[in-house]
Amino acid sequence: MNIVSIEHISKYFSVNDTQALSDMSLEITKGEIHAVVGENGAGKSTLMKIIHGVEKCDSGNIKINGKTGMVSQHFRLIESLNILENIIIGMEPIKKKFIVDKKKAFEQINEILVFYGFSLNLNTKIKDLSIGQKQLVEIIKVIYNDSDILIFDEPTAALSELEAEKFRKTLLSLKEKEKTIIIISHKIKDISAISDRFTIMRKGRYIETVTTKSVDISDISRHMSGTEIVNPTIDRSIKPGKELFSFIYNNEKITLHESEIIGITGYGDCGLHELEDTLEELSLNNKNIGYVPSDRLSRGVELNSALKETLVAKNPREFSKYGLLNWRKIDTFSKKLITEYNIKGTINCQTGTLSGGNLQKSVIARVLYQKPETYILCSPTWGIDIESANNIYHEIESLKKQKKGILLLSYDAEEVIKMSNRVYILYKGRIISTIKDMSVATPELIGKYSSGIINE
Amino acid sequence: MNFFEIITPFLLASIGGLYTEYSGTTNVALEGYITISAFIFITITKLTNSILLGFCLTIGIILIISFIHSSLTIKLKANPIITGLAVNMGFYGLISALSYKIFKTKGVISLDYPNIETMPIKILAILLPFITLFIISKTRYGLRLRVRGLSKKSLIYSRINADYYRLTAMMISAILSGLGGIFLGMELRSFIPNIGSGRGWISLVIIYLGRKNPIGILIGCGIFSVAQIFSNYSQNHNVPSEFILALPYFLTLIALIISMRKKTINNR
Repeated sequence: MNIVSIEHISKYFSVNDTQALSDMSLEITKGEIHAVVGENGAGKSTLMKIIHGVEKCDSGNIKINGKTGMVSQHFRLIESLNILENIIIGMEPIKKKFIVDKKKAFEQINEILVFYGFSLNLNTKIKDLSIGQKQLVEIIKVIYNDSDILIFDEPTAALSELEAEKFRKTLLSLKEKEKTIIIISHKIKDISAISDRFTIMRKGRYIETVTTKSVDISDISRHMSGTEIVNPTIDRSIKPGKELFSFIYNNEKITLHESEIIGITGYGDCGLHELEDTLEELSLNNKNIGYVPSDRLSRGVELNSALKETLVAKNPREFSKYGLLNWRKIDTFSKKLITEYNIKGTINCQTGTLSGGNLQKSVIARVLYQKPETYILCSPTWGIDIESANNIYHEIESLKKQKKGILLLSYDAEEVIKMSNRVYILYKGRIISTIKDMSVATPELIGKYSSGIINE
Repeated sequence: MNFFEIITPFLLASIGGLYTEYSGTTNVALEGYITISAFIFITITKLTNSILLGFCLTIGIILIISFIHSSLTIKLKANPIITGLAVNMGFYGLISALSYKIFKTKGVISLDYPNIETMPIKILAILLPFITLFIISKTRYGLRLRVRGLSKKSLIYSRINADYYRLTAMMISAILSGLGGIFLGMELRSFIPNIGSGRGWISLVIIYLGRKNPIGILIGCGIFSVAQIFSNYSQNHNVPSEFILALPYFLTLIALIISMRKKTINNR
């Protein structure tokens, strides 16, 4: 039985002149885990918003038999409120007609926490949480809302491998409870490990729906992008050059050299978040450090400004004379960056209307253009499709060849192993271990260190 | 006028304005609502000879006006400052036009009434900060109102009508300021042009000085009322009243500097 059936829907956005969806169809069976895959800007998120009912389509038929709950890619949590308040919005238990029964809410949420084996202090403010924890709060929120159809937009992108594994288990247990799950993901593991079927979208159109079991894992990525993916390999033979930049983290001095990529990783609360804050402050006072924030929405861009404004925001001086901006110069420059980095958007479109991946491309393009000596990249490929992620890896590789130093902060152990010359692993706010010989580095080893296990 | 008579309109208007602040906007028409309510109340009471009728009809009319004002602002996504200022100016025009039409005067309109009992309004005004604190922190309406001000998308994704909360907040602020205007009319037993004499604007200032917190606002209103009493008193002596009227601003400035220093030290 189909719990969601979508027939020939179209959606046009006039703000940035894009046809997000055209003649898209999708059928979801009750109780399945259905993955939706495709490039950035393929219209996946728009489709999910239409299913959830927060966006309306221009034409076509939609039939949904159940309550939907959605965890969007960019969290909708309120930073200044605590976890409990965020979870109960929309489903507040009420006593004496209009008073919010926080005690009851507390019990109900704790039941969910115990059931799924999560641990959270419900009185913590959202602003004190890491990305992974925020994700968890969002998930608990949709579970709490008692939705039948759960929609996840890139849920594992921000999670460490351990957390992602836990999350996938959570989805499977939700499936056991007869929930229907729709998940957007770029991670092949999400699709191969848990999905029953997956649907491929390209440029707002339906391409095909595939039963996951019927295809090989290696085939999935080809199905997803339509082209053969070439994995970038980093040339480790380039020897690091002279010292570029150093900082002290918890009594340990980390020095970055020319042609060197240093990976820093860890799980959830390891202190990566705080380290990013420190490094951000350093980068602000130093023109030779380019910084790409992990939370690109709140730190990387101003959502209401035009894309061209976002692209020149780092160096407005270059585009101004006597305090006046030279818009013609800005337009040419922005057009150049947009084509060069394949950003799907026009120079005048509102930055906030870009898809997550394209947003990240704009932020990275802006920093790369500045040509600093040192780059601080924080979760650079979070929420980005395989092809674009590979483009970013290629870009990092060419930076390395140009004798630049790169500091890569990422929760993604595989990414760190693939790119780095050296890896620092954080645990509870300190460096628990350093891997200097990259030939021994495996995700399992990093996983072990990240959980605080040093020797067996 | 004694302390309670002075603080009442301040409290009503600033706590009313606080609701719109929670919903993420500002109602700059507080002053206008005070003035027009006083006018409507005096007019209806004079024409019908019934305070009760005057009171109820005024509240009803303000409800309708504020509903139109806020729903237009929200639906048309207009700038709330501009619509608020337009409402303010429109009210003044309306008052002098109607005043001339009905009473053939643009000046003072007096009621032939002995004392009007205003105690219930005073009590309500004093209790209002505490009631508001309760509503904001304990009720569902309060939670959603705050969320509306912090993130509209949060409400949309939970599929709650986000506009409802801003609309009602605007109406609450209009009604409470209106009550302040009615109170002034009752106290003076007449309508005089510029009866609000800047109370609406000062209330907006108090909201910010009170850090958008009901108790902070209560304290702010208290300081301003005391200053008002002093300035009335000083007119009989040789102290410039402007100096005393400036005192609350000066005091809050000092208070802000001190509290900010504390905050930065804590952050370090």
